[in-house]
Amino acid sequence: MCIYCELWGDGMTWYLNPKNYPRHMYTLPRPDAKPRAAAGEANPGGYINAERALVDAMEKGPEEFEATLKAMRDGADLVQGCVGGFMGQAVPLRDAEKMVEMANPLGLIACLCRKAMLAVEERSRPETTCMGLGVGMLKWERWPERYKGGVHWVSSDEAKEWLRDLDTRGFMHSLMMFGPRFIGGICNCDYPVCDALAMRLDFGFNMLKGHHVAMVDHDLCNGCGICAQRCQFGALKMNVTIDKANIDQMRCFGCGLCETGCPRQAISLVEKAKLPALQEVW
Amino acid sequence: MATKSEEEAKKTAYPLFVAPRPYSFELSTEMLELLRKEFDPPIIVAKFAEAVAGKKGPEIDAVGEKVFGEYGEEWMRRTLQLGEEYPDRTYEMLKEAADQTSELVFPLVLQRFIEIAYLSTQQFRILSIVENWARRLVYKVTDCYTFKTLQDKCGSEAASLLPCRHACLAMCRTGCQAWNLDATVDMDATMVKDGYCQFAINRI
Amino acid sequence: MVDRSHLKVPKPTPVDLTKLPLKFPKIEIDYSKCTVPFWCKKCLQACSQLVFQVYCKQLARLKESDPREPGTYEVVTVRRDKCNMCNKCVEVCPEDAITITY
Repeated sequence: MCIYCELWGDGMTWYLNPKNYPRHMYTLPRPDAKPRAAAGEANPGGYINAERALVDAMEKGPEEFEATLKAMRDGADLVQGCVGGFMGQAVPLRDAEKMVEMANPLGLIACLCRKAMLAVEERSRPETTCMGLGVGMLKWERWPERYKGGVHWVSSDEAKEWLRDLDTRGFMHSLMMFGPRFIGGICNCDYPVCDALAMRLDFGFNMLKGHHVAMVDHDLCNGCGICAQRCQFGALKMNVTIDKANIDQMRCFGCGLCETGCPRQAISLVEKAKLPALQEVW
Repeated sequence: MATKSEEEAKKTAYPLFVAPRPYSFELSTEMLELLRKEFDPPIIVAKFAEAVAGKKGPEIDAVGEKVFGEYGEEWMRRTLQLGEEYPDRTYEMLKEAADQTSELVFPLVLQRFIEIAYLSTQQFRILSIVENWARRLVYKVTDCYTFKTLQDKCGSEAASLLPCRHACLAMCRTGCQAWNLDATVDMDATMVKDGYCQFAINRI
Repeated sequence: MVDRSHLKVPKPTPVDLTKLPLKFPKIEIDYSKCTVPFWCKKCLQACSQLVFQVYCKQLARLKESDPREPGTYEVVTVRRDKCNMCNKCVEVCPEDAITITY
């Protein structure tokens, strides 16, 4: 069980529990409500500033770095409700498909990270690599700058097809949380373009490992090396001596890219719950 | 003085994809007021109190089923009518999404009208939706104004029979009928036992 | 408020604290020269280490910004720890707005 399963799982994997998705559509404003500035307006470069601060702190020294990292992990600059600064979690394709069956509506949107890193705008539906989930997406026009490129609504079957296509191309799937019990998106990430992945792999917060790890069946593996190309985490390397794939399960995020890419079904995903030594590897 | 890049930039076209308009994403207050005037809980509770005067036990429930049942049906019918007459941008976008995906009538369109029905007559500002996905729409009502009025007007004994549940049940059923949804409406929790009412609409 | 004291919050540590402080290249951007970075994006594309990021300075409700308008976007150096000082961004910048020192 990951921290979010303990908090919000109600006995099941938390992201397969329908209670953890955005739910109510309308909130009546209080009569005495004052217009408040949204977080984005107050701090437009929020995400970017967090990363810059960490790099600057690395130049200053270990104490400064630890203090800056602690502020990020306590979530001061990030989303309220994310424990330890973990906003996202790696999700294998099969679970992502279950998620799109459950959440609605589903809107394909442009990726914020790719927009920031490469100044690309994903304007047409085949280009999109991110998906917004839940009723909040119906109000996307409040933030046309964030949703530059528009929102393309898809049915759950179309969403599955979209996920499978991105999986074939080699993107790992992850969920994104935007508040307590509020799974608001499915991202398709690759290092280093994805900010969340870069922060996890380089600084140690923002994305949680998934609920599975990959295992290789050496009898079936023919040493083609496709899986090694697909691993985003450096967990899967070719064991050159015996010419078979080798997976470091301590590093594995359980994204399942190696499994879906294997032409001989030599790799399978195993639930972490069955492996006692991995219970605290997140 | 403009830089080289600025001048280059001005030569190219850049389509903005959305014309910013002052949309309202919230429910129309005018619509909520109209509904409140017609379906304010004290009105129906007074009607019920008149009908049950002098009656006991099972008779109370039978009267409740009739009075509150009819009220519930009318409540949803009027909500559906006014909800269409006073659309907001959220609903327009929902309809667009529903058209494009041929999904979403259940649960989201139905959910919108259930939210309107409660937000117009109750005193809370958010209807607590527990689950809303392709097979189930579940919501709960804590702090119910109708139940409180019922307790004040008819005494806690009549209120503990929860005759008002027929209003919510009939309201949900009318909503399902409006879109020909094959669904059952169940009550998972009651105010008397659990301290809140929970209704579940399950698709068959 | 949810009680979280019982949770074992993971704290992965990819950064070796014993090696800090580290010294990274300093990258200066002259914003009086670089005004339309989201439209130009040459440095973002040239950098193999993805040091730069660009963001919209004028994020507001119901407003979409035009990247051709000067000053709406700003390019910033984020991952200076990755910079190898290959100077490709300096060469590619049409406004000579970038300087790198070490």
